[in-house]
Amino acid sequence: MLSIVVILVVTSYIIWFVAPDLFKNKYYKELWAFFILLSIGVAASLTVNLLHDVPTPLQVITNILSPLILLLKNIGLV
Amino acid sequence: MKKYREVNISPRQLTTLTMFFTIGSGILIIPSAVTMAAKQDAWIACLVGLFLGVAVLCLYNLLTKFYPQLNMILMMETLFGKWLGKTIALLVVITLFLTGPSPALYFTSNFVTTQIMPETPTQAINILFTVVIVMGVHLGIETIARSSELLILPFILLFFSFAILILNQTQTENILPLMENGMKPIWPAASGFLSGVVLPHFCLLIFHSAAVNDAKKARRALLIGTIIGGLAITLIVALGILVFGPDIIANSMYPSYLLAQKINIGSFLQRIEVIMGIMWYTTLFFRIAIYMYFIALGLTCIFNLRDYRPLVLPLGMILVAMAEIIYPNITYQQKWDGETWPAFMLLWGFLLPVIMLLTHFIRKLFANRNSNNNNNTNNTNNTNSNETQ
Repeated sequence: MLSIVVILVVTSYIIWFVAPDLFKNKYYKELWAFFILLSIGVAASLTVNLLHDVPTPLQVITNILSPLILLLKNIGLV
Repeated sequence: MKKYREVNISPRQLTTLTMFFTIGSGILIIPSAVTMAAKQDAWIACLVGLFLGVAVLCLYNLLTKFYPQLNMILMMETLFGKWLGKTIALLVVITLFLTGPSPALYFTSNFVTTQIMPETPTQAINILFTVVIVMGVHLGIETIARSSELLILPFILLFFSFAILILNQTQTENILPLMENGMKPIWPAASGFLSGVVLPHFCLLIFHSAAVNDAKKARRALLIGTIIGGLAITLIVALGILVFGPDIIANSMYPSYLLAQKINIGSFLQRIEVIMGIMWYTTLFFRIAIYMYFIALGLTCIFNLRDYRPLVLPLGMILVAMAEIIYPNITYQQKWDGETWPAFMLLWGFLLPVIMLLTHFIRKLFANRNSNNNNNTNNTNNTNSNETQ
């Protein structure tokens, strides 16, 4: 519960800190990028804090790179 | 073409920045990883890795020589075309965010919670450290460069006093026999050193040479900074083996911290290991800050934004979340650092620049042929098109 409150407070602080300037200068593209990244950040923070045993995204990279890892292992570089 | 904010740093600032970036998280994870593979010859492996790394850096320097005013993302766009270049750049940025700053932040909190403050939740330390990093990146690379210039003196002072104070504990027989198993175990250790310490330097190409007035000095600064940083890590590895022997270093989590705990001058000057911690924090700050700067500026260049600063705060938020889940446990971290990270860095830090260079040469070849053809037709037709051109 505390974590949700903290995440929301931090999010609103970030919006208050960044967004007004962008609105004033009519930087709408930057505003879009900012809000997309911020929503990813809020989603990631909530996921990490509310769920247990979130799988690490590194596993995807490991799976994609596995042929290269095998090659390096056979050469003797890893 | 230059859409990102104009920055200007001096060659000396670039040298210190490169040095801190090189020492960065390498000083934490490299000693045990290298020693595990090469045993008492780990310091030779470090030197081999550094030598290979300098060769790779010359490749980077060649790239910046051809495109002195472009950063790495814009370079990719010019070389591979708009869509392919942007796609590759986005891939680099996303994967680097997961593998660069998040593990570095994880090391910070993991170190504090295992060694100094065991009951503090890791997120508290992560948030505190991220606030400082986000502040630095928000202020810009010039501020980070100036602070690196300021902090280099205390760092060097601490580092050398640390290296000298431990000297009375060294035992030469620990590094003997030299090259017991030949060159074979040296190669994996050298590739570990190369991928952990030198290859991430492609991140520096985001401001390297474009931010320094004198491009030639910038290229030299990159080389000098890397060599000094690499030698510092080699010194730590060598001292660790000399004091403890290869087995203890290979099995310990933070060998350099262990080394600092061992300092004992006449039972009076002892337990100064937290100074080692301060040195790590300084270097890790620059490491993560440069990664974050690369990622924020990379996204700005990919999506043609006008300013990178609005992106820094949300990125910091994602960073805190990612540092929490990036490694489920220590075993996973060691397996990742030993196997996947070298492959990953080989892909982005070595193969990508090589492909970029090849594309450059192929493009140049075709451009020359086309211009020759044009000249020939112009000469044969002997029109006044030459004057209009």
